[in-house]
Amino acid sequence: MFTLRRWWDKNALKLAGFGTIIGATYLALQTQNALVFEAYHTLSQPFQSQAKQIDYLKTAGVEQLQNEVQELKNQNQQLKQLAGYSATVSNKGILAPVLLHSADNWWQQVTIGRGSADGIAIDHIVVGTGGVVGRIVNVSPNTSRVLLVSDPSNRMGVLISRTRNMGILQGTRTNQAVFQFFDKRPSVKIGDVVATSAVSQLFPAGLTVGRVMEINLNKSPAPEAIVEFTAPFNALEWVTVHPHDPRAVVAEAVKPVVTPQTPPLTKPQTKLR
Amino acid sequence: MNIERLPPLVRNGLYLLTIVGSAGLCLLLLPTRLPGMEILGVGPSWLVMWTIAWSFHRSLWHTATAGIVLGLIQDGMIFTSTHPLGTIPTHVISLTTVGVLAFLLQKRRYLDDTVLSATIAAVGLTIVSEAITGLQYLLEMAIDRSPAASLDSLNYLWTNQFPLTLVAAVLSGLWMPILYYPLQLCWQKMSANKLV
Repeated sequence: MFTLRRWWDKNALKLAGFGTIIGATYLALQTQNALVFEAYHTLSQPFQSQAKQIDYLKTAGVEQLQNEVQELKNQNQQLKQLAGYSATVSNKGILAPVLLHSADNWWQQVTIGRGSADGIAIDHIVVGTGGVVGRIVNVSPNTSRVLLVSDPSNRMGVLISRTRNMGILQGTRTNQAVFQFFDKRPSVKIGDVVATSAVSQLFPAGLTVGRVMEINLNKSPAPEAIVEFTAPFNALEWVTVHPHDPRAVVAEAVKPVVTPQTPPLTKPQTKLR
Repeated sequence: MNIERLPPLVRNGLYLLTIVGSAGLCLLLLPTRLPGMEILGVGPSWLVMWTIAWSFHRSLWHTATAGIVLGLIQDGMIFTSTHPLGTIPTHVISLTTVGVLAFLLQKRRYLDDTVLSATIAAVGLTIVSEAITGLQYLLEMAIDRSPAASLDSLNYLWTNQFPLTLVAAVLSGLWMPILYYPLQLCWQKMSANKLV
């Protein structure tokens, strides 16, 4: 007991001092854990370039093609509405620059330069040129963090576009991923396009993910394929963020069917204006 | 500019500024992959390097606190859930161990405060910190699923993650002199004049 008292007399002040520092850091991180990213955003403001998407549309030929594409998109939208097909991803997305990578060698994340001030929220989908890149996991006023699909914690429901064989894709921290099929004998060829399926709630269906590079049908417990992502993970510079609500996917599936009822007959009342 | 002529408040303020400024710079550099500072998408472990630089001529309390604080901040930069008890794997354990090991090695005179020994410490302790993070993943696997699953993970980590650890260690060793030399000059000057 006496030694404890002596230790306390010697070290109480040190304990209080260091404890205050640790406690203050802990509290600060609980409330505002994007401090470092906001600081980076503020410091790198003079170096960030604004994307000029309009610059490369100057030539008339390109403009004409853009118009044709827009016309075809409108027709497609009308046909989809006629067929009762719901749109999965809106065409307008928020363009964002990739600022930082992961603060670790274990997690695959990037930080982009748009945040809640631009309307980004958690679970939004991030798409790069060529395919899906990841989803938003953390948002601060001016930056957001994207969990890439190459992270091993990412398991998304995917399918082979051509044959509709479904399976689960898991990242391997590289730009290739492992596709485990649901069927024992899937029909798949090297070069097949892989897209997200309706099974995945975190990602909307129909987004391009990658291409099949290798097939191993004899793997147990499930046949596997190696898929290479079409989005350039080694050279990500600009990405687009699309809004997505995973709960809406579930809600859509469990929406109760409304039975039509005859409305009660009432005398129409005219309002005196 | 002669530091001794400044009033003590300004001197202590300058000292605090060097600490917070250098640690802040390391935190800001941590997620960047500037060309020349990265190999295969891996960058140097700036926080390990700063903790080693901090551990010279300082008590165990100081180094352990630095490890805990920087570990907490790095966890906040990486993980998304804000569980009050922390995350698994946490960088608090790895950075605190790095700080304690650097302190003990210095105590036993295996390391002195030259740039060369700081560089060697940076290379070795980066590997130690990544190994501790890997161990945390394996333990979590063994508890959540089964020891067999964690052995599978060990196989995967050894083939895929360990080369990245070596790359990070090499980069930390290459950039340690640039971080360590100015900090050492600064802090030695301030402590030699018995200012702080």
